Amino acid sequence: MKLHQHLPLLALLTPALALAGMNDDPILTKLDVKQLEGAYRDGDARLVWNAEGWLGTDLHKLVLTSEGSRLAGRSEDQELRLFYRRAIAPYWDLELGWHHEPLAEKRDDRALLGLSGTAPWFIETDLNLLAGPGSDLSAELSLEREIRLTRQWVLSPEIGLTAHNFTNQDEHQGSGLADLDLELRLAWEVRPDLAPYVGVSWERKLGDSADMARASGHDVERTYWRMGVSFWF
Amino acid sequence: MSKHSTLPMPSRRRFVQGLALGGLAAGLGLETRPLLAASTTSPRTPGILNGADFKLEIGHQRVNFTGREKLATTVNGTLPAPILRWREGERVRIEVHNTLDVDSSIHWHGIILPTEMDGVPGLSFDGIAPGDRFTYEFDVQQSGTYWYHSHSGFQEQTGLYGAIIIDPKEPEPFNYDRDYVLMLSDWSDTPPERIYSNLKKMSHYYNRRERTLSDDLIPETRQDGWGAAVSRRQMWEQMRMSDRDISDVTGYTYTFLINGQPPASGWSGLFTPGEKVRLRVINAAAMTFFDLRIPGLKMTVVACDGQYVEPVSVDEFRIGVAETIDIIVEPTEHRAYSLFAQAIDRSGYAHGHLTPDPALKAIPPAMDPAPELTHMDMGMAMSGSAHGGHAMPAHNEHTGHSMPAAGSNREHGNHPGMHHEQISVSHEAHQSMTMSHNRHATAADALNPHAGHDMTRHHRHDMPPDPRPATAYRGHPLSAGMPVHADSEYGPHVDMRAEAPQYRLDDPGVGLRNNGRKVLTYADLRSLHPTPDTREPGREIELHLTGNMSRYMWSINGIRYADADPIHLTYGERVRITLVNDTMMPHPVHLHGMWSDLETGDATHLPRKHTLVVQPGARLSYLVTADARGEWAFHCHLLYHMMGMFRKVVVS
Repeated sequence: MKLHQHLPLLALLTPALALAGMNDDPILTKLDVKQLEGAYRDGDARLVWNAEGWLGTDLHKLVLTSEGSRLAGRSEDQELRLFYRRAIAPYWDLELGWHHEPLAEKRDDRALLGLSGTAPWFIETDLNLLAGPGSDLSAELSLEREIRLTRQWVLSPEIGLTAHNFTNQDEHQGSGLADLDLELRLAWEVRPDLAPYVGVSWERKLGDSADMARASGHDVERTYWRMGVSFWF
Repeated sequence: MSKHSTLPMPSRRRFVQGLALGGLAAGLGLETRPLLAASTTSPRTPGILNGADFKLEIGHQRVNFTGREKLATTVNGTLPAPILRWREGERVRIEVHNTLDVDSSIHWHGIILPTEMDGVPGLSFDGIAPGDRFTYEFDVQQSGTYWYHSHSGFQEQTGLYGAIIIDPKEPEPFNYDRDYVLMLSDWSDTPPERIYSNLKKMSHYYNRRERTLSDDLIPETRQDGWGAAVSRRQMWEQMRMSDRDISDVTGYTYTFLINGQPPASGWSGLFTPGEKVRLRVINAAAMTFFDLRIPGLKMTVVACDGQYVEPVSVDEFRIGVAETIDIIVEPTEHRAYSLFAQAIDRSGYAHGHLTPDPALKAIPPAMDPAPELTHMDMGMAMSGSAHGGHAMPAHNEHTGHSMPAAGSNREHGNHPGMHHEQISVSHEAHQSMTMSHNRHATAADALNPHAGHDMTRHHRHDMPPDPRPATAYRGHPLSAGMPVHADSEYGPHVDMRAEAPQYRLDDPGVGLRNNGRKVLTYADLRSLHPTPDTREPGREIELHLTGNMSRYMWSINGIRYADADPIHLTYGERVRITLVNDTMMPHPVHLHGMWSDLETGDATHLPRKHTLVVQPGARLSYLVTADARGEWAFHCHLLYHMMGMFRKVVVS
């Protein structure tokens, strides 16, 4: 009689019905636009986004993320990730999936293994390992913490690091630590699910990656001013 | 359905008399006597239905509590639903017609009846399908104040709740001139499905009282230095938890109601100075614990969960979701008294007026400071003394549980996190002092700049001597000792386990400790009647209330209802149920179909309850006689916890 018990997807369409059947763990969806912003540097204005959508339950989720930027109507870089996120500890999730760069000239799909969660002191932690063809490995670490200044003003410092075990001249990716990224955003939390913000970020290439960039006449460090909005539903 | 009962009923007569004496009334009896209505701000005030045959129609009704029109789920078009007035010993017949386009049901909360009449879809019956009717019919075997609500989906959040008054066969052991129901509830314009999914996606969505730099850290750093301010946060930050995490759903979305009236319109009850007024307080909220007081009045608690208790005089009480507390007050002055029910997290309040004249309105007092959790609320062992050294309620001084002052100072020294609550205490004492001036003030008090210090003296004079033993209940020897946590309590679905949960029956709870007022605790409850079943329990069932706040998952023993085996009781057995709260918030736990005799230490007069609040990080025991065959629900009554924190109990 209660179809939704047998066809979990129905629960998505009829949440009230699903809960009447005492379902404490309905299948939900969330679209979390973490950043949708203009990034300004040297008179250029880029459109930058970082969004995550998921479908799933308390402990198991299917996640699609998209990051990228556009300058003057042309996409600069983009990456898509599709993975399975599974809770492994009260504050930690394990992620397993696929990394894809739609704009890459040669096919550049990689396998993704990630650990994300909240470390003590409420440090939002994201650690990813990307495995490319052969034994090419990249590691990414991102740490972020929200500092609540007042009820509505929230300051979020973030630090990001990447490292590789290979060298890719075209992309200025050198073996070892490659990129350092410091970001600071100040958000006005209109509602828990809507917050416009301003921010600044400073990126710097490190080690071999810096040498490669320098050699080809590219900047080693860049500062962007950012203004945007984050929201979820 | 008969609105006008022609049957003679002693207490009913007194009830009507109360209305006649004052000449005006609000709330009860409104529909039948529109001329008597004092409170005309809401057309949705419930009426009273008397007799033995009732017809209830579940439907939708437009309501407006916030300035926006929304659709509520109602019975006979009112919110709350009509008050049902039954008589002990009669057989009642209630035909319920579901006009919604989804299944519905009505559960009679705290009523002893056959399992198939209990109204829990999936356990007692199939629920009432859209357009269908279901007739409930059972003998009324008890008396007192109860309530009814939907047990389907989230219909309780959207308005499907009403009061039940059962007039006793025997005369009541107390007198009163007027009788009012105070039904407390929480209303949100946001659909409950959305509230639930918001909590799943961001568990602190509704907590707007997180610590901030400007309100806490900077002022504290100035006062106590950086090191002290940071060390105060250290434990919570390391645990990834918040000591401000009091309620899941708050005044950020809720409007708190008394008898379906928001504070702005304010429900009014009338009295004539010198009368005794009985207030039947029912917490019909989906998620909100209320702390109720009437500044300037002592309240005498005469019944709890419908059952008589030895009268206790208090200034304030906390009422858990689904509990009922009957009080008697005697307002003597010709002025309006404030019926003030703050939400436990101080994010808002329900407010009404007890007034001799509808034109006179009471002004609500300021809310107390937002409470903060302590180590004790995490179920952690307290270094040094036993539980609650730091939380020793002021009123216990005169009930005889005195705690050495040095001990309490030491606690504060060791746990700077409590410092804050201590600061707020003196503030609260002062505040309550100002509010009780009208009643207690003497010239000397008014002149005394340190009025707060006089609180205890007042209390010593006002309070009757406490007959209870000086030492609080610490549990049956069988249940003492460290808890054993099952393997199922470990994993991503459970974020904490109480290390050293204590019996804290004499703890008023977070936000009420040391507030200078006499606050009701479970240790104050003593049944007026002897415990009916004096057998020693044959066995003990220990259940742990568990969850992961940040993932918003709730369970018992780490196992959610969908994955759990039923709890089996043998018909006729006497069993002890011990609940251990492995979370940071109080859970009101409700067993259907059978009484829960709360173990308070005095086995001869155990208070009988249907809903028991287990304080955060604490434990609590009660005895149940399995005298009702069938399948029964057993669950946390917080609406958004219930789906996981639920068990089927089978008595056979």
